[in-house]
Amino acid sequence: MEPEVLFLKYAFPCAFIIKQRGEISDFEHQILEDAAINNKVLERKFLEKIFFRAFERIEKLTKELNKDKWDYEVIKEYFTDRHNSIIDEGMYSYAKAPESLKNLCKVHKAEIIQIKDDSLIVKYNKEKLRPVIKSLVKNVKIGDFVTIHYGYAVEKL
Amino acid sequence: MCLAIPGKIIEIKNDIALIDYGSEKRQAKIIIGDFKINDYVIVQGKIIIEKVPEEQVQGWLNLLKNGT
Repeated sequence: MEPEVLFLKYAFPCAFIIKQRGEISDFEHQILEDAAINNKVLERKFLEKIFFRAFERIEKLTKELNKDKWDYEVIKEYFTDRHNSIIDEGMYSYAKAPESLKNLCKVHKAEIIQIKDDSLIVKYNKEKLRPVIKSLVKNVKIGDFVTIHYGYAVEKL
Repeated sequence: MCLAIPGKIIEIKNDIALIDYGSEKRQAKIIIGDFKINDYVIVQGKIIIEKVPEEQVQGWLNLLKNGT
C-alpha cells in the first residue's frame, strides 16, 4: 500500500470534523472519500494542506525517527501509537475536548463480531461495541481484527 | 453529507432515527446500541456511531467552532 493511501485511510474518518469547521467543501470531502475507498493516490500537497494538523505532529515524529514524513512506517507509527498519546495527554485542542469526542478520535484495535450490509459491529477496549462503516476494508470476516477511527473500520490487522 | 456535531433524536421508527440539528433534521440508522428520544448522538455515513452525554454536547460545539 502506498503511504498516501495508508495516510488517507486513517485520516479520512476525521474529514467530517474538518468539513464541519468549514475548512473543506462537500466536494473535497467526496474526493477524499472516493480516494480512501478506492485506494487512489492523491497529491501529497493536497493531503498536507487539508490535514495540516496531523502533519504538524508527524513532522515532530520524523525528527525523532530521522525519517521522511511520507515514510510508510512514520505514518503507521503516528496513527497507531502517537496519535492516541497526544489525545490522552490532552495536547493541542484535546485539552478541552469532551471524552466522547476523544474516544471517537482515538484509533482502537477492534474485533469484528457481526457483519451487516454496509457496516460492521466491532468490539474494542474489551467490552465496548461500535458500529463502523466497512467501505475502507475489503474481505473481512467475523473474528478478524481491524483498526477503527470514528465510524470507520480503517485497516485489517 | 454528514454533520460532525451532536444531534438530538426526536423520533425513532424501527431502526431509523430522526435527528434534529437545530437548523435541519436528518435520518440515521441505528445499527447497535440503546437509543431513545432526546439522546444526543454523532452520525457518520448515515449511521449512529456514538451517544454523547448531554453535559458533553457544548464541548463538542465549542471545539468544532473554535478548535485548532
